[in-house]
Amino acid sequence: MNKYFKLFTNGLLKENPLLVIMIGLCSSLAVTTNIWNGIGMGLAMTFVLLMSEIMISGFRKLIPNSIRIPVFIIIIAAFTTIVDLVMKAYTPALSKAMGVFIPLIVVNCIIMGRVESFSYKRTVPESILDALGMGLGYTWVLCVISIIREFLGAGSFFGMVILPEQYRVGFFSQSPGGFFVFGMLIAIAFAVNKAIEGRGGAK
Amino acid sequence: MKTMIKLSFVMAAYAVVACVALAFVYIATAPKIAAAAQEELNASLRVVFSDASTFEDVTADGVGSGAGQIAIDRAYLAKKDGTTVGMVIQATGPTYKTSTVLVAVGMDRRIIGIKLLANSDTPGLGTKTAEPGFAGQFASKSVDDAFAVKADVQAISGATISSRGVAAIVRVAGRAAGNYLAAKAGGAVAPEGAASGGSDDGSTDADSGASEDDASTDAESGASEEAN
Repeated sequence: MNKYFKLFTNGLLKENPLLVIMIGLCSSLAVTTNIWNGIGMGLAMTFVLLMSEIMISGFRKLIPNSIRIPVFIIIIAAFTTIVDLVMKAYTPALSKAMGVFIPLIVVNCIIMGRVESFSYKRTVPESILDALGMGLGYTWVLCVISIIREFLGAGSFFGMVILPEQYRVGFFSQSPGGFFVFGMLIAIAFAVNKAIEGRGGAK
Repeated sequence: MKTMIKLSFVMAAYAVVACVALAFVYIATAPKIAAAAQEELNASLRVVFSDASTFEDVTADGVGSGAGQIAIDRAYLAKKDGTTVGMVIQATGPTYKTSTVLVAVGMDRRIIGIKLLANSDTPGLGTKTAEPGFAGQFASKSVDDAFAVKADVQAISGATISSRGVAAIVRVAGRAAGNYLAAKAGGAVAPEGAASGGSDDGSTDADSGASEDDASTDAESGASEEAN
């Protein structure tokens, strides 16, 4: 397998930030009550991650080691604010639904973690692939959680109501439902990763 | 010492670049954001004042702060094609617990409509004040009416106190709007001898009479999403 392709697929499942590394959970559980929120949050996060990784790996020789964390935060905060302003301007309803979780991308540990452990030491192309992989890994998990929670909790799929009121389980719209769905996904991801490993070992 | 100064300059350079970039994005998006906020406000106020096209915030322009325990939160002039056609006031006051009401008043000192925005009264009883059967009866009443429950306002059975409270809020907000329009925008003037401010407002909710069940039952339900 190509080295670059591997970097990209790493984030999707094998080192999925949410299901395997288990970082950046707060935003993912809080906004995933409907699919649009999941997609919006995932894309916002992917954009900030991608731009921050590009900038930091591009300038990594110009960032003194002793002040790297404050510089990372300045860069991440700048891109987060850009996303926040753009969302407020063009998708006000979505921006309202996300509330404080868009500004909170600044302190999202996925971005901090990837920037510190990956792009500060790697080249720009590698960082781009890592950011896309991690970002999409984050986004797809968010989408799956949102779809399950929206379907069971609000009885709808992409906003279309398909489940009558009496079959809905309000529990899934609340926080404990989020944890429950998330826990199930972790278990499935664990099993899948193990199966893949086992097959690789047998070869 | 030398490294400290050097690091400070490096840090400052990054901060300056980030700020300049943000300034550009801000300038590009600010008008869009303002327009979106204005549109949201217009949409929410058009619910009570469907005739108007835009609304102008005049809260700081001497509308008054209410009377008794009833507070005027915000005030907007309703405009259509640039001319003032009325006013919308958001007021909060005690009902069984508290209610926040939007009151729209036309240039003729008549109420155009009201809408309950927030109502922490007993669900199923006090919250019925938001339904058209109760809220709808205020339309086209003059703001100088008495708004007395059982006289010119039909109360909800089982929720007399909520009904009285909402009527009192509508009276205070309606008169404030009527007086502001008369003073500043050429609206109709209050007839001679009409009550001016409603100095008796605080008393409307002091009546006893347990026509509703315990107020503690209506604590906010539905926990919000986890914050962290």
